[in-house]
Amino acid sequence: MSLWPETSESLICRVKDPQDEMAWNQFMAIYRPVIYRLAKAKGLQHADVEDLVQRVFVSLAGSLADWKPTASGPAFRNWLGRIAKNAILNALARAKPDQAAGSTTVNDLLNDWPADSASEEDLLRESRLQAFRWATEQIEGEFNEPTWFMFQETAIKGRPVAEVAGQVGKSAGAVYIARCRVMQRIKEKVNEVSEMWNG
Amino acid sequence: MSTSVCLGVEEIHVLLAGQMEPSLLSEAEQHLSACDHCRAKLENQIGDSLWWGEAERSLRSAENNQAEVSGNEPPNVAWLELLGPTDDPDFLGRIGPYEIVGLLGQGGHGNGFQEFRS
Repeated sequence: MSLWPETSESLICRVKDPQDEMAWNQFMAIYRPVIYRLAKAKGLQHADVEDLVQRVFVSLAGSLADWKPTASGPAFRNWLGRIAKNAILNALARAKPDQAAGSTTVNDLLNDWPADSASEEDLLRESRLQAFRWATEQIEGEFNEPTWFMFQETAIKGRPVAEVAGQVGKSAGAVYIARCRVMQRIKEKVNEVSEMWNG
Repeated sequence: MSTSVCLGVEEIHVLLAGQMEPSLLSEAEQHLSACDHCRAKLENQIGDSLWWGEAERSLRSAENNQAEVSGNEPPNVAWLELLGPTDDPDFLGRIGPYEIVGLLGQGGHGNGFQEFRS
């Protein structure tokens, strides 16, 4: 079983700005499963996927030391999103378990790799998908059980509104409202992180 | 507001924020049970049909793939206590005839062990 690269612990300590730390934690929560799925889709075996995930984070860990905020420069989360995109596409493009990543400098990561557009599209799509999943987990605690149940049965499980309304003894309107209130919060949460890969 | 009066923009905002007064809320619920127009307004306030499509696809695929990402946290000690001892240092432990290699995922609803039948 492999765990996070050890570097991630010390990294969190080095991200001093609370806003930056939040960006880093959101990044970790979202990108690990994304890299995992993309690598799996390429047909890599479990151990090789774990290896690739770790290599991406180790290369990002090395780059983080080079982060210097400047008044005119990008925000940390945009900078992180950009080097991450390139690190991930780079690792996936050379995804061969027996191939060492080599030393990757931050300049390598900041220069756009000639990745094929399909991979970049996959990365964007998977990142959006994962952001929705992450957002849903984040906001679940804000709602009471009946509201969450009505949302879950209709929006996630795809059951008809009338059927769920009958089951919980409420009106169809109450179910619509529950679903929309939760979806509104999911949207707000997704928007918090989406600038990371749009930057 | 009677049940026949459609929701205004401000009411939709208050409704989505979960801040509508209980008496008004039950009227809004009744109205939305019958008024397709207001249901559409409520949904469009959150996102267009493309957004809803992406959101629901993402959430539904998550439902089908809950345990796909493994090993991102150390195994919960409580779960390891369920396992019997194993002789092989490469395994976590045993459940009945199964040698347990690792934890596939853990969450509120249960744990998936990755097993190897010896």
